[in-house]
Amino acid sequence: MGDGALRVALDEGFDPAAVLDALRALDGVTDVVVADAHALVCFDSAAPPKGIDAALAGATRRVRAPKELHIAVAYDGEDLAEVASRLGCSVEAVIARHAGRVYEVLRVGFMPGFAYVGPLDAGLVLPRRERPRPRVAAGSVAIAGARTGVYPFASPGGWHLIGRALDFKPFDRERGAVWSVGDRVRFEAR
Amino acid sequence: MSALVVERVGPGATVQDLGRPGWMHQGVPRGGPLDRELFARTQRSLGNAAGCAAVELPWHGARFRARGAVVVSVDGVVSALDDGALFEVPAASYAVRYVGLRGGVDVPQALGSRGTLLAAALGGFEGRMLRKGDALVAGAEVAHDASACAGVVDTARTVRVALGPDVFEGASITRLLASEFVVSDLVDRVGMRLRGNAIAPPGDAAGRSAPMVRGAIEVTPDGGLIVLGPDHPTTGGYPVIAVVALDDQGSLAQRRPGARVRFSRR
Repeated sequence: MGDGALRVALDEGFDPAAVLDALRALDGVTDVVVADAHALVCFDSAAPPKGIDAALAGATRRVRAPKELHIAVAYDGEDLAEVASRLGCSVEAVIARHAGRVYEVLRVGFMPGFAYVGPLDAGLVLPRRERPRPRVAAGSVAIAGARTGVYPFASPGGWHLIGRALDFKPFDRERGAVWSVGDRVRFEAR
Repeated sequence: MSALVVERVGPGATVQDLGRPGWMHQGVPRGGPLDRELFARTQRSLGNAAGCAAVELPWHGARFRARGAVVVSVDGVVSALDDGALFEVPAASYAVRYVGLRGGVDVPQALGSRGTLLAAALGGFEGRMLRKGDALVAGAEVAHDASACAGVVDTARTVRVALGPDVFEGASITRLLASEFVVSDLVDRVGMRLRGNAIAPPGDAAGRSAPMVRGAIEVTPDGGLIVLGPDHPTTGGYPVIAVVALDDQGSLAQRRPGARVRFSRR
């Protein structure tokens, strides 16, 4: 993908945490991004890394123990009532479904510290909003498709806003993202 | 401590260095100067280490006042300023200028870099654009003797690209390589939108988000082109028809709205 980067297609059902760790461990790799169906490997264009295919073939086991995060949420998002009505259930049922299970961090990307967390209960799956908002407040808890997330910064956004994370910042300016692919996440209603 | 104090500055002025590789898996783009060559020339002219920070001034000029004696370089042209001296940096014919200080611009590092990432209010001067009254303190990172660094900024050359990684029809590739595009006024460090012949996205383009790099040329559903800049989102949903060669990214970034762009296959 241009000078100094390669985009490789990943097999169906790949383990994102294992792929990320295996590729980051290669000599000469400066950056790795794991997305929905591809991984990106960045390097100095004068010294491309060797062994990408072998690393991917071996990327079936996780070397890191996942972190467990508990995120307190005030379920008072702007779209909560609309989400409930589109799903044909009560607001309480939306909250119970969202807070009712342990999720996994499936991807980190798009903006610093933004995590795609899931999968959601099938009864919460909605397409993105037709018109994205020009500004979503930092800390907003949102859902779209089979995924949920917490906006680390104010930004434009097309997800449905169902609440606000309390005492949780997904990105720390000194340490970076607080969650990684593979971590476990539970939301708690406050 | 000697410093350069901002008296007047346009929107988009930030402190930048060579960027922060190693954090893309956390959604943090690599950043770095819009024009690496001009940035490097500015640092060399001061005898600074390559990784020192400098002020990046897109599109507009600026005015500074020296606090204490400071040695500055604008795009490689060095001036020694006495305490209290006013220093005017006019806008150039090209888009982006660099103002360096001997010893570098001393701001705290964040995730290994002094560069500003506006979307995350990270690094640089308090994570934000510069404004009147900001004092840019000179650091102590002089690495070698200064060397004369004359040079030109080429905003006219054909921009070389590597095709892919997404697969487009032959007619779309021909349009990319045979048409002339124009820089729109939607330009910042995240990306540059071009105007010109619409290019048909592939039929299966919808949905999945894929990793992105600087220089990736995304094709939007309406056939428009966006060339990603140093502060691009690490993933994106539009297909990528080609990626701009490293050596031509600066020349492209130096084009002002209305400037012409032609692509060639490398």
